[in-house]
Amino acid sequence: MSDPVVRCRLTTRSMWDYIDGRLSDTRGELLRRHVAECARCRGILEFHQRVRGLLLTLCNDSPEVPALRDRVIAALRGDAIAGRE
Amino acid sequence: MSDGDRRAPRPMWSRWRAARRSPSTASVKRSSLPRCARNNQRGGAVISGMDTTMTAAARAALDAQFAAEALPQLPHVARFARMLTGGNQADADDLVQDTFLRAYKAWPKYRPGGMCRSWLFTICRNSYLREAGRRSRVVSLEPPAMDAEVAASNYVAASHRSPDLLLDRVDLRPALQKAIAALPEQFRSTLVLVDVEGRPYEEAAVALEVPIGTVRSRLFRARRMLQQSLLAHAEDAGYRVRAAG
Repeated sequence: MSDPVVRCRLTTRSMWDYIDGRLSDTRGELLRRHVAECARCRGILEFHQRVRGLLLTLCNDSPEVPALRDRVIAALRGDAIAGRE
Repeated sequence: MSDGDRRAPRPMWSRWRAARRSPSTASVKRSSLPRCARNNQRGGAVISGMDTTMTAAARAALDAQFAAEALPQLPHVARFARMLTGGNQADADDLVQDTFLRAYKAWPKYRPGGMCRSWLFTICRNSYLREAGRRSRVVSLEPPAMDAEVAASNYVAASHRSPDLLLDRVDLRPALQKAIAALPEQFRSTLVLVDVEGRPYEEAAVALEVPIGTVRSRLFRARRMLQQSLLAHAEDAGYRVRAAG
């Protein structure tokens, strides 16, 4: 695997697995070593990580739950009453 | 289309249909019940419209379990629904209500201690698909084959031209929401479950009723589509993203 083009291709292919923590320790170490010396792959990894980080921030956008919760419970109650009839 | 999309979804309900523990042995605290359950403890069935042989104690136990396991998932279901409906709040709220009504009816078949959130996500997504009439067949809405790293390479080139990192200079959150809403449904659901809700692949696979390999491939494609959308947005905002010439 001495061809740099091949190394870059293999690295970029496994980047998301690496970010998701689904790469073995050995392959993770190989990826880190390559990224440390390849500016292009480093940039790609950084892009992936930034997009992943952005997506995670959406998790903090909590919808207005209390009103919705009341509405759902009221609907459940109505449904239960209908079920008894 | 190599990600298994053509395969018919395998019903996963069987995972939740395992024998539940005897309701009569469950401890029921009145204060832990939702209002509907408390009201009905006095003299009626809540979940039990479908089962007239169930004792009051058994009904109350089911309600208590629903209150303790399903209702706390409401914020997650609400966020998932909002993503599914492309940010339409009214549609999302309707979807959440429908999800919980369906879950409530199916609750006697749910196994306590199971993956309740994933179970609700499945109900929510199926309800959305049913409502939208999109369940008939998985059609290929994917973009044409492209170089796997074109978007990333463009980003790298653009970053080199800019003194600051591109993603720091453009407000991408609105674009991100829009880009997610524009993804084909099967990619959108997968991306939201894993990248926004933080569910592991295994759980997303259960919620989406597909193999783990399909989750992985859909996820990668969804992210790639998203990255391209974000770069297009940056370009619209005046940043030169693609290499000249």
